[in-house]
Amino acid sequence: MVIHGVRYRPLDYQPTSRWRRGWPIAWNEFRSMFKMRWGMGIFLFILCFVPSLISLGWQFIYHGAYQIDSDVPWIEVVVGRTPRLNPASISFYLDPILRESFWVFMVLTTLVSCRAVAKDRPTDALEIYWTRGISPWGYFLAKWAGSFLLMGTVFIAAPLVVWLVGVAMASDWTQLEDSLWFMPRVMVGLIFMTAVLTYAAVAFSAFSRTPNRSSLIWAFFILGTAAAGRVLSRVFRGEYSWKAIDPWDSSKRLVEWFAGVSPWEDYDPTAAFVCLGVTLALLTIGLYRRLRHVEVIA
Amino acid sequence: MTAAQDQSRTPPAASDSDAASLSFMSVSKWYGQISALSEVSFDVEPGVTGLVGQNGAGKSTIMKLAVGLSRPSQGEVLLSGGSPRDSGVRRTLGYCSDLDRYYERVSGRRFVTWMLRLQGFSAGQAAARAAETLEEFGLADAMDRAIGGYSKGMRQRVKLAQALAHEPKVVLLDEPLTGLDPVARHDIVELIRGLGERGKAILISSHVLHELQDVAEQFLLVHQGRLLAEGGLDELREQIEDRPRKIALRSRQPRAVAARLCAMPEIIGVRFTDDGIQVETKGGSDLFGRLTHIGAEAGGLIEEIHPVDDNLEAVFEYLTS
Repeated sequence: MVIHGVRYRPLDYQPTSRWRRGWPIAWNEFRSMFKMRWGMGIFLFILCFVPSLISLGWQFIYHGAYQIDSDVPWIEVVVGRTPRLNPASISFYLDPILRESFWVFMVLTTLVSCRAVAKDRPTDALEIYWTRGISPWGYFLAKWAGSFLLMGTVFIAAPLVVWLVGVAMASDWTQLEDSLWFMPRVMVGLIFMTAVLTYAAVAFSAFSRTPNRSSLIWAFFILGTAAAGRVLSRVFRGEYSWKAIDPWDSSKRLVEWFAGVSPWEDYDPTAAFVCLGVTLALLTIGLYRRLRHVEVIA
Repeated sequence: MTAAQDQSRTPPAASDSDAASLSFMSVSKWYGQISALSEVSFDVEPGVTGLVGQNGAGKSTIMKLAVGLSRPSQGEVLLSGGSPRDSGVRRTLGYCSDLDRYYERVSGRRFVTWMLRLQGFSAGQAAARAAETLEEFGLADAMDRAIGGYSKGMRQRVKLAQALAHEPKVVLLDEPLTGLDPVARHDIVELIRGLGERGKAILISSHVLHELQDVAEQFLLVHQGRLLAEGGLDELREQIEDRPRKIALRSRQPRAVAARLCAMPEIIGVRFTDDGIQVETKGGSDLFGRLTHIGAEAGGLIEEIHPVDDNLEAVFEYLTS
């Protein structure tokens, strides 16, 4: 016979890894877009895919899935006049993101990423998280991962799907051969861009006490730096490097430069790297100060 | 044991299973030039310990330091033998904050499941354990409703459930009885007592002293950032020698009783009140036995005896005045 007594007995469970513990936060962040009232978030999210859906539709037309009866080889004519409509060109995959999706970036970051930490402050959720074995940085990384996933579905997964569908629909391997050299670089570039921009947006959210204020400051920051970049660029007689103070513009240029989009393959990326680097460094320093429990004396 | 400030304590080894569950060793905390805690040392052992103090006395600072949300400016805090900032050590901690503004739109089940996943449970384990705990806390019927629609008592239960679902060794409860109706308060007091009996070390903070007296066996009294006293209520009352103990007696013949009491050397004052007599004595708790004996000897002269200032409120008032 064994007398166990009533001493404390811990629950027998094998704790999951640190990464798996952060996953619920990341997943919740990803889903926050779809939890807006009246399905507004779902509607906006679907709208974000419009540029990529147009590219996808074009793939179907280009590869003859939808036949348009015509005596003239109009597809060749259109592609000849507008090279970016050629599915074997880099621009076909990058332009829907870099040229036509600034508003998508603004919608996703303003509604989700730059509210990530700010919305947890007023509810004191940070106090609960940080007593659960999630470190402040683990919490931040999980929030970042959630935002990255959300924006990544539009900025990374959508062009990849468009490319894969085109390759699958093509009658031969020509499209794959023509695009395989640049597609990995396009993907790396887009991953870099998404990671940098979501990091900046989520970091911004740590500096405000309310999500609405955070959204407002973020929108002012992005639109303000874009406007300032354009003005300075004009003032300094077309000196392009001034536009690099705009994070969207500088990351866009870096993607184009890295992917080898003409004429940006000869672009000097120093200014863009410096501006993005300084922005991220300042935000990280700020995070060290802000990403902690607010200590106040009662 | 009043104002026990033992500076010579050494940190227990992390592997020592008999180590105090929560130890503060000469802990001070400053916010700029304001001192929130000054040289505070104590141990919390299995059972229920009440943290008593007025608003601004340093209770919240002690809680924040104990859960690792704040670092001591000086000294050391040990939770289950390790640093409370260590994620492995935090697994042994259950914390129920006084804040009540968490996710209103999620259900109780989802909230507790989520908290367990953050604690390191797999999705399946977390869901099963959350349901089990919420049932234990009497929320079986309400667990799928949004927290926003819960009563105050139900919200407190959900908060307690998330703090206790992973069977922590140390449980820190910050004002868990605030705003509860008497029935809910009774239920939660019983629940907390039960946890203490199951070997958990529970530190419960409140500024409502009579509530704490019902639930805790040991007390930590803090005042102006200092640990004023620690120990059981009787032990603390015995230590306050400069304040005579007050005992109220009810009798049909108060004058006769008063005459007999005045003959006792430990009785230093007798006062007539509307209900009977109030006695001031320097005697210890054994005096009650002797008073009962006198009452019996004198043919049932004394109908009722009860202490006036053997409660936490009085002890705290004497120590702070």
